[in-house]
Amino acid sequence: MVPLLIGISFISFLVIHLAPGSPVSVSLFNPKISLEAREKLNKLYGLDKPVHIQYFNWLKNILKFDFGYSLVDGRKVSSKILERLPVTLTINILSLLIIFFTAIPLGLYSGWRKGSFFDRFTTIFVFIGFATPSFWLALLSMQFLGVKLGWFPISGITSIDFEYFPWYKKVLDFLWHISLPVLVASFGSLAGLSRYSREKFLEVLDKEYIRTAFAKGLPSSQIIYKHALKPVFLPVITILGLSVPGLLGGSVIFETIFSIPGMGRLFYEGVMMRDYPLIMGLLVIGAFLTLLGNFLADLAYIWADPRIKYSK
Amino acid sequence: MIKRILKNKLGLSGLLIVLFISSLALLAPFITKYEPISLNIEEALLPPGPEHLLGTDSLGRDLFSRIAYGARISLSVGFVAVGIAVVIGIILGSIAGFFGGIIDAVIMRFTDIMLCFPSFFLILSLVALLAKPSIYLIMVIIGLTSWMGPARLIRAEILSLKEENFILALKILKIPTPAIILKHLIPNALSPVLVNATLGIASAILVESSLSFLGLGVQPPTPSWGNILMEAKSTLGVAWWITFFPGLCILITVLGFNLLGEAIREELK
Repeated sequence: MVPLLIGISFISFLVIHLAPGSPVSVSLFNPKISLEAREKLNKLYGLDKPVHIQYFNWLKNILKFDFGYSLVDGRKVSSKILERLPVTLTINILSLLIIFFTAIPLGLYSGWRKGSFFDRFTTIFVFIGFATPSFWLALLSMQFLGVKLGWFPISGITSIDFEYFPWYKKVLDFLWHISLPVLVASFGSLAGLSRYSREKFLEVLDKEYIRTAFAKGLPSSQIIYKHALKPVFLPVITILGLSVPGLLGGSVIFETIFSIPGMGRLFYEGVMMRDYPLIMGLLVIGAFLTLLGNFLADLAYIWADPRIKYSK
Repeated sequence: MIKRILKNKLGLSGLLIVLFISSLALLAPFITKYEPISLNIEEALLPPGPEHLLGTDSLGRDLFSRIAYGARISLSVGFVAVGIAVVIGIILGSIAGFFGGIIDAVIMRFTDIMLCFPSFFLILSLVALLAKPSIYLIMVIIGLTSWMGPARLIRAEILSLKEENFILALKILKIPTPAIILKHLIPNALSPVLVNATLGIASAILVESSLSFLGLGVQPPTPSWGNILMEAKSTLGVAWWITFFPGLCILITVLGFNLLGEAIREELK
């Protein structure tokens, strides 16, 4: 894991150093940046030093969670990211929960009734779900559920008079605002995961110990709940852990569409303004969250399957 | 194999969809009545009808023409990007698989590192480095960020192939190493990459349309499905057809390549 982190930081550094002009010279053309901020930048990047020294300095700084200063407003990149992170995490965790609790039952049931109308219907749904561009789904849901029917707000995360609400109404208001984004974010992965759990379930049902259990006349509910479900959950947990990068990439799109002040939209704004320190910081944090997802998936795997030792 | 795919119901429908979209792209100048970029404010925001098959946008441009020309963009980005990714993947994967040892370790660690980045983040960062994104640069960027799958597949295939007797025989015959790799190992290792490439075209099309939708891909007035949808945002709730049809085209095209890819996978099993 440590070599991976070093590699990640090295590539992020490399990508940004390909940028035309140094970060400081970019800021020279930006009248919004004060002289003081420019000096801070000069000092931070130590641009008089050779490239490898610059890299090590930068690495030392990111270990302290210091990504430098934004070229747009001169604020600390780390604090800009930190204030945007909670919204993105909330939305993504909520969509992971929705994916988990709908995709698996859907997949299991269509596997159990393989070849039935329900199974064929979900198969078609899965292929369509895979192919649906999330930003199109977002636009359609905005158009119909938001504008036409007026059921959901289509931008922001709070109402105008949010400040005067009692706390429970604040929570409800927030949930109401993020419901469309969460639905859109979960839709794509929903299809993939239900397909996957269906295939795994069919594999398990074909195993000898399950067929033995059926042959000796155990009730099917007992076979499924006691013996067949656990081996299906294992690979599904891994897939959930691996879906982190996709969800983060998706955040850029739906946060931009729904004007949600999260990490994804921050990234989009950074790209639009060519704010390289911000982009670099978000790139590193995105990769770190991906690694964290893999790591949590590994942990869950070990917890669920005692045969796997961590030393592996 | 093609015969068997034609017998597979899902594969056949995938192939038909791909053929349909390809002919739409190829025949675009012949089947459209209007130029995709010719403005006509008097005919703005017309709903679908006999004159404008899929209606017009807020500048009076014919939506059908724009979608047909947009198909050219989407398909060429899909094919070229995947071509680049597969070539990089074949080169790195076969070198890693054949030589093993430290070369293999270095290449595969690099692949692992690249896989740690959320790919859309990486693509956006590279786009940010460009002064002005052009369609060719978009193709290259998508290719440069999606070679990891093919590289891993090729490496795994070559690892198992190089232990086979026929490769051993070639080595004993003192056939030069590059010839063994190019003529014997790579052609035999290609079939799993075919599945990956077909599915890759679908995802490259999705990525391109997302980028263009965010305004960071193909730039107007050149029509692409993504930037038509970007412009549709301003007429949300007024003109449903501008939102509906381009997205439907993306869905159908991606669906077609996915179905085809799945069918090839089934056949290779």
